[in-house]
Amino acid sequence: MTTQHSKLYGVSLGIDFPKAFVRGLLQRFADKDPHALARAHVIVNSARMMRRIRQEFIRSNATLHPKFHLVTDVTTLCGNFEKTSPKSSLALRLELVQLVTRLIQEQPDLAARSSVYALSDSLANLIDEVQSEGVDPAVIEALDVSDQSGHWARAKRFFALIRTYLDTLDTVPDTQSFLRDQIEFLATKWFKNPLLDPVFIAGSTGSRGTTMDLMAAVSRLPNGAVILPGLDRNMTAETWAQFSDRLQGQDHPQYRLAKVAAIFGMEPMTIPEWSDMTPINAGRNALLSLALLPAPVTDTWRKNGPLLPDLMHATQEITMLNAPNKRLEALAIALKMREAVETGENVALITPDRQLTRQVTAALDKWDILPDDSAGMPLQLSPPGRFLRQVAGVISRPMTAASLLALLKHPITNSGDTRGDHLLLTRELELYLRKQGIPFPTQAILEKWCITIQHDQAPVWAHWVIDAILKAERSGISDFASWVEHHRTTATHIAAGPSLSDDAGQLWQKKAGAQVRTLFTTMQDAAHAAAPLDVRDYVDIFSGILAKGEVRDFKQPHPNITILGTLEARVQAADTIILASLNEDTWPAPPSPDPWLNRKMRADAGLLLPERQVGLSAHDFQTAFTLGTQVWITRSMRSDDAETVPSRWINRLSNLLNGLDKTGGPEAFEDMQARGNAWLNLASAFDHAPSIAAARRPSVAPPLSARPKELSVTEIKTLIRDPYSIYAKRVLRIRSLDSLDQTPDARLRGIIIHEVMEEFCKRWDEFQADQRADALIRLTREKLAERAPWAVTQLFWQSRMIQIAEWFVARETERRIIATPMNYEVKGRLNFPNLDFTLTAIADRIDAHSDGIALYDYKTGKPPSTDQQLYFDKQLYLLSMIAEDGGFDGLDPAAVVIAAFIGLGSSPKEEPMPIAKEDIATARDGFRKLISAYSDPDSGYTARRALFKTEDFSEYDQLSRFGEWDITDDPQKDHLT
Amino acid sequence: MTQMNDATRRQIQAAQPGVSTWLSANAGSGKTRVLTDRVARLLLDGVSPENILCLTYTKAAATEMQNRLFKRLGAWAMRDDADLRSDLTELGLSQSLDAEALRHARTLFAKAIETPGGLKIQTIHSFCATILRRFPLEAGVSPQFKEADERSITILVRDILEKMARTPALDDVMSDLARYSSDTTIDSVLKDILTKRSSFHPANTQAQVSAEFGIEAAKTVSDHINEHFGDADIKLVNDLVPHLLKSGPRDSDAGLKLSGVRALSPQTLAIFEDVFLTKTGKNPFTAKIGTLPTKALAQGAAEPFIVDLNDLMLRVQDFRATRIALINAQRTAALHAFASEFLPRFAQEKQLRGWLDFEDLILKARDLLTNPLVAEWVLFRLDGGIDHILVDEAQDTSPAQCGRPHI
Repeated sequence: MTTQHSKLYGVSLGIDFPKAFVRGLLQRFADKDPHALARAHVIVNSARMMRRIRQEFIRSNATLHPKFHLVTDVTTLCGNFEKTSPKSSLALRLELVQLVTRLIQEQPDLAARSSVYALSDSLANLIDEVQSEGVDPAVIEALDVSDQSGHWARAKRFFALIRTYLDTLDTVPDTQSFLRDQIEFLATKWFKNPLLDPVFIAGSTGSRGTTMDLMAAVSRLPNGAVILPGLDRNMTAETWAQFSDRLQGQDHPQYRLAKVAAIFGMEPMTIPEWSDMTPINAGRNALLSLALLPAPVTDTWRKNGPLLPDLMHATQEITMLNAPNKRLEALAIALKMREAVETGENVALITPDRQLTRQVTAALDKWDILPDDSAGMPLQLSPPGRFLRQVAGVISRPMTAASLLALLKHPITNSGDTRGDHLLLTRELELYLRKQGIPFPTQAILEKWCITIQHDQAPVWAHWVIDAILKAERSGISDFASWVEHHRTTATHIAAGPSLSDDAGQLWQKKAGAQVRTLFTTMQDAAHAAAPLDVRDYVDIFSGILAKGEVRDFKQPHPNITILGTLEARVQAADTIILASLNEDTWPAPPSPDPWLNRKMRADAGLLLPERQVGLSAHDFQTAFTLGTQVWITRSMRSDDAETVPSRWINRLSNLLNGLDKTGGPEAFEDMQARGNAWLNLASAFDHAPSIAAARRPSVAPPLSARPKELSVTEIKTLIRDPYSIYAKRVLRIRSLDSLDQTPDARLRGIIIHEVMEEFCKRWDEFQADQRADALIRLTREKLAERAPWAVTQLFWQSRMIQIAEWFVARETERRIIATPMNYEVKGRLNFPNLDFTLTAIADRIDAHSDGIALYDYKTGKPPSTDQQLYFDKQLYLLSMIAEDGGFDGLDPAAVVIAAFIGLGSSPKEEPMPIAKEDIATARDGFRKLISAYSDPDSGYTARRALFKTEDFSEYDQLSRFGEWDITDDPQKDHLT
Repeated sequence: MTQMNDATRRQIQAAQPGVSTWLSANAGSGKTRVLTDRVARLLLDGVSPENILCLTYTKAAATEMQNRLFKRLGAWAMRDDADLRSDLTELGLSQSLDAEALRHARTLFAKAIETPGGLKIQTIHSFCATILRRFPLEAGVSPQFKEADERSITILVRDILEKMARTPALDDVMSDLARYSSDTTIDSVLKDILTKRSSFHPANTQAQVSAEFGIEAAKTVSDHINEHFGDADIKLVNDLVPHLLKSGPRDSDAGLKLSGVRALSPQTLAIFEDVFLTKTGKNPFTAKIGTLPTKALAQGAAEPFIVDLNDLMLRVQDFRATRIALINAQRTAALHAFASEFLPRFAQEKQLRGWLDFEDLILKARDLLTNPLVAEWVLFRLDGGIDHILVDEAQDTSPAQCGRPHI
């Protein structure tokens, strides 16, 4: 076995790491017996890296491959490591929750009871770090902190919990401590008995304490070596020296590599190159390296910038896309991918921004291109995921009509063999709920509906809905296992449907289904660790767990179009690499605020500094930027309502280039942008739609045979003000669907008030004169409770009645002096044979007068004024006409002595028919004229002919395309045949 | 040295970091530029970027400032000596600009960009959110609190209102609320209560409200009325009405309005005011002595009533202020009673969900920082403290936000 010259190697930026690693390895083993390679161990940083390296081995001539491991799983290397398997992270979180809860119970002023889960989560993150960095919690508690406020003492209480928690791990560890123990074991084992086989750690920069420890152990092996990815060969010794201070430079991409070099006792400048491959574009490497210099050294930009060779060559493959918004950014990227599919090239999109990747994927869907997205789909958005979330709602909240129907329509609900009937019955139920305007469906309502349906499966189905869904709501405190069980059985019952079969329809099918099934098992297994809780807390925990899951689609993605997270940047080169969403706060992301310690405290305790995340991100960026044959850097300049701040790396690069005016920097920069703009123009052109002429204000003239031969009295007002609505309703026969979530509106109020008034008038004599107002108020309250199931609505509508009750009773008393109520809700009709037309009506109330009859109509708001009655609201006149001709059921022709609107709004008043200005006979003539006019085949039903206010809403505004025209436009006659 | 005009000179003076300045200038007068310059000056003087905090009112202003600053500092990094010297002089630097000073100026770009934690230019709102996330125990909030958006708050408020309407113990409070508002105005009433929630902390009692309006709390509305009016007044009006109705249009209009009067009540008083007092003109709300009834009637059939009528009209005029005060006191008391029930419930529901709304962010951060011991702890944990705070766009200050920069 050749002695290795070094223990530490690097692969430069701009070189495909898996390719270089395999190449270098094979060269070193070229003259050896194939079994030598088979005895080697390769430890890599991620599964994806492992896959790629394996692929490269397959492509090569190697007959036997080495053994592969992950840095997070050295079990095979350990061999006979005897320790119990680690607990699930869920069980540990739940244990922590118990600890925190107990602490708060003992000292209630420490924190609010409702913060328990959030505090536990936060503490769990700290524990994770403490373990991975190998920090003794006692060190944290002993930090030198001067504080008069008493808060440090508080925080220390929580840190004490960490110690308690870690002590429990001695019996059963968690994943972090398990890994730590394994690595310690390995190090000891190799110390006593060094492994002679070659061991390589490839592709890791040692960002976690445990990995660093592993690297240190490997460094002591006779044939161990670490191969670093993405090493910057353009850095000078002076720059590398900046990283010796622990508090400086952690945000620089090469910081971690310097630290690894320190472990090996080497100067970064002397790290040998692993293979003979060279970077794609050395000029590009140099440019970015200079741009990313840490702060104390940036004054050298002026000195060393001009020394950069051939800026044009270094930047000619860089495209800079400054999109005006995210949508265009996504569209431009999708177009580039579309081009790549045409030309057969491969494209990799690298970004932390999942919103952007979703938009790109949606844009690609137009062309049926499915990118290979390493992230997969979030489990909570998969069909079983959504279903379970809805079921969680079922068990924790009362169902509304909308949520019930949404659940019934879910593809997993009742997905056994009775699906067909199920869909039919769901539809019937929906129409019923809409028509009746029921916001909260109950068992009684379901049973009532059942009777109205002629379908032999209806009773069984309805009872299934009641049992499985409506009765599933629970409250109170239970233990975790019970909640999990209840959730699972409810979901199964809903998915299975009314048939008594055992399976759960489609619930557990496919990858996503299998994953959620495992999720339930995990929860069940961890249940012992949790304290009793209420349903809301259970749903929170469940949602949190579900949110972490991801499922990869089984559909076959396009092999050349890849979407990767930033961590995967070093894994593969591509013909074009697109680095997207390069705005500050997206990439790099801001470090999360630390509720426990500040920077110095962390440094003193040996914990990680917050800006370390930025450094890792920067390395990902630097790696990807140099790795593409072509590279795109994209961002959107505006988000929501404000300008964005470009990513610091872009800022640095732009600044450097634009300042190098003597060596063509600004021109190179302009070219980068010009290439980007060309694509943006393409994207905008893609969006471009031809202009369509605006619609004209319609005045539709259907043939006589289609025109309505019968209208109600209330429709006459519409015929005058907005004839188009009559056309739509009576000729086209289009009616809007009743809303599902019935909200208390004016229409409902009108219906209720009419019913109250009718009943009150009928029962007038039951009450004593001085108690009538109270009776009216009481009646209103009862009716509202029955018909308007919202407490706030009842409150306000009741209040209105209270305010007008006295007035109404007083006026009614006076009304009854001259006339006696006779009939309520009386139907009537009047034929006009010459016009081939019938007028129908329902009169609210007809009273008997000594000289004839009195007609009254209730209005819930302001009654129509005299002028309105003369020109638009002819309701009273029309009712009078019918009454005079004896058209009302059960009534002979009679003279109309009084006709009046009774307005029951906030300023109650009566408004009589203005008979002095226009008598009934004149009104009759006017009516005839109106109807004859519409009997002319040439007359058109005009849209919004004379609405009261310009803001008035017509139900058919969308149909008439109001907005493309306005009321100042002349109507356009449209003859229909 | 370039010639400076007055405005520029003033801008430069304002940018001198040694002098603490509270900026109040009109929009577009170069405020953002002055602030940016001031930050640049602080950095040149050797202040560490993490010790500077810039607060703006809008996100747009924050990003604009940040971009401007980076552009300027970035330009310095690449300027040659002569140009850099003149840039710095233009900024108002008077001390000698030796090679070391120039070198230092050139490193500022990277320093500002790479500050651990970032150079803090943010909206007051987002600054408060950050503080609260770093000091949840101290502020009494959940470490993972959610910033509730307007829509979620609207839905929550409606839910709370619905629950309150179903609570029998709150019947009186809720009926009063319904009496003085309507289902169309209730949303904006609730919104106002939320925005002005500090005014209800604590809410005023009935006694306090009455005192504020100068009314004796012990007396009911009827008591007040009966002190000034009596049945004789009703009789007077009833007797007068027939005469009014027979007279000309002005008189008969008045007669019609008075014809329904039967008993003393606030509504009756309102009718009296409507009929007996002027509405506009030189002396609004004064008794129509001499003009009601019209001369013909006053000297004719109504003559015997005039003296008593004038007396009544004057009393109505005098009572008007009291009547209005009574109504307003009732409404105010109802408002406070409702708010004292609503706001604690609202706070509790938010806490259960771990929500903070916009007002909460400001108020809780303020509470956190006004306690000097806590403030010291906060500054310690904020990595070396903040020595300089610059605030942009001072004119849109709300009082709570105003209190904040006085750390």
